[in-house]
Amino acid sequence: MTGPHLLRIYVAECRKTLGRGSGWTALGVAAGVGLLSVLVLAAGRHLGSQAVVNGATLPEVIRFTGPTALSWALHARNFYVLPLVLLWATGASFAGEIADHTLREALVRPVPRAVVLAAKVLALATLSAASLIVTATVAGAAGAALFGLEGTWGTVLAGFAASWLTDLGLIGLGVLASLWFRSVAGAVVGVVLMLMADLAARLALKLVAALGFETAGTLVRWMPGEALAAWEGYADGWVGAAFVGLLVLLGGTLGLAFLRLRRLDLP
Amino acid sequence: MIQDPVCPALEVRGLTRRYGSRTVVEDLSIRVEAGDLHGFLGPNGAGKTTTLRCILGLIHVDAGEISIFGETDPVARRRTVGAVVETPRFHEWMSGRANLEESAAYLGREADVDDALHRVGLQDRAGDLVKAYSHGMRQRLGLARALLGRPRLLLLDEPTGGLDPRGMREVRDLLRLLVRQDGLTVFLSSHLLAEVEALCNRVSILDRGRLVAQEDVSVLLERQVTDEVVEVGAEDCGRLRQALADLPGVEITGTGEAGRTLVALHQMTPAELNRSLLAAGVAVSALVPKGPRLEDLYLESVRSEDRS
Repeated sequence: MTGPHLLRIYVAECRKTLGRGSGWTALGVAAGVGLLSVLVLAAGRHLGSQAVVNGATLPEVIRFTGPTALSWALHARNFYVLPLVLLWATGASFAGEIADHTLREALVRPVPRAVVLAAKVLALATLSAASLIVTATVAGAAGAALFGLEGTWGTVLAGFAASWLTDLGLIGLGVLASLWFRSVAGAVVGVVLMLMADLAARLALKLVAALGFETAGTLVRWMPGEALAAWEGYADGWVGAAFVGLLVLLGGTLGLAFLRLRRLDLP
Repeated sequence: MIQDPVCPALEVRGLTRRYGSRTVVEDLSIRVEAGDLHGFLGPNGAGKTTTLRCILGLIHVDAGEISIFGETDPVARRRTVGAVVETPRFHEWMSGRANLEESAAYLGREADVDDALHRVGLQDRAGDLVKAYSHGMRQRLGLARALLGRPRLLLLDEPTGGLDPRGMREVRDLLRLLVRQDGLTVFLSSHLLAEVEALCNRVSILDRGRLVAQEDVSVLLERQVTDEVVEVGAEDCGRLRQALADLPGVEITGTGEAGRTLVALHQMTPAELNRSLLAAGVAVSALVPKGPRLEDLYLESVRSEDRS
């Protein structure tokens, strides 16, 4: 296969991924979340000292700056809605195409299955990047306009970059679930249930660790949920183990997905 | 197009595919020569579509080898192939043209989307969303997709399914044209015997996953000409059947059209039969010579398989 051939496949997958309902929903939600976060922060500034939280006025606990607006947008973006839309897009790209037999039409072409998998994952990574850029642009521009340019923008933007990596981990899980369940709903629900189980397991391990079994605490750091929260390090300090875990998660899920797709019979 | 005279367009050797304990295709061997319009016949569930999926590498084979123009690697052998597998599927929310452009991107070589659309007569509706297409238009769009990049071998699974008579005729004419002008080889899976008889020069018949016949259509039809078959009608059917049963060299083989009796003549011409029946007091109302039909051969092949 030649470079131009691979590029054409990637572009074709991007057009499909961004053109689907899940694709433009992701971009729309990304823009909406960015704008809404800034507006909520602006409303908080408007309330000013009238609003009291735990005995402190809002200006005492919140810094009304552009980077704060951007940071709020990042947290809002990563709080369930956009990850779910990304899972929907991943399910549509794999499980949806298996269910409606359109994947078959790609696989009758002279292309190895690994290339199809890679092109789809890269297209989903592009969608994730586009959604982050949209949120950052909308929230950044509106935040700068309302609160000025003061503050450390770079730190929050690093959080956005890290969010792209954690999105990749989520996409990896979505791809694997799609190839097992072969339905969009099954893929989304499968990953959500897996993450709920992961959360329960982490809570249980933390409880055990609190009782004095330190190994349990070490285990927690290597679980998928911790890896998917690696982006939070921009505010609290980066955790290297979370990124290593993310790498393992991505490699593991995509490796298993490749093995699964290679053996999959596509009627 | 210059074809390699030694290398067949498609060769399947000892193909076996099982689903669990059920063997769907068993030790199947087919050879399709370049430039052939090769029919692939069989009743529902015979394993035709499974065979096509194996050829295209969509499903795995349990045993056997497949080569296309001498190429056995599953990815490489798809370079020269265009295919329609069952009902063609598309991204409904994309236009017909966008669907073909997406497929062309996967092809890896120059593909003229406009030419493919023009060949199937969809150039005026190419910008419409596929969800607005009729079943027949989808079939034609599927054929256009298969023709992208000018393949050397077309694998078609019921390509005229769902088309109106005019559409069926257009597709058949197009296939003949492709074989004649472009030197294309076509492997056509169909349950429409008349279609295979009208289009194909060679046929393979599959039943319960096993090959029961593979021959030139003309040779198969000639093989049946040793016995002449006629349909005989009379006002008194009971008397006709009695008279036929008493005649030597005559065998009642079934019931033909309009309730007429189907008769095989082993040592008698139709004129002699007519004279004999009149002499026996039967008022013959119709005597229709019946040429050999692929349908008869097909049913005979499948019946032979049942008996064995």
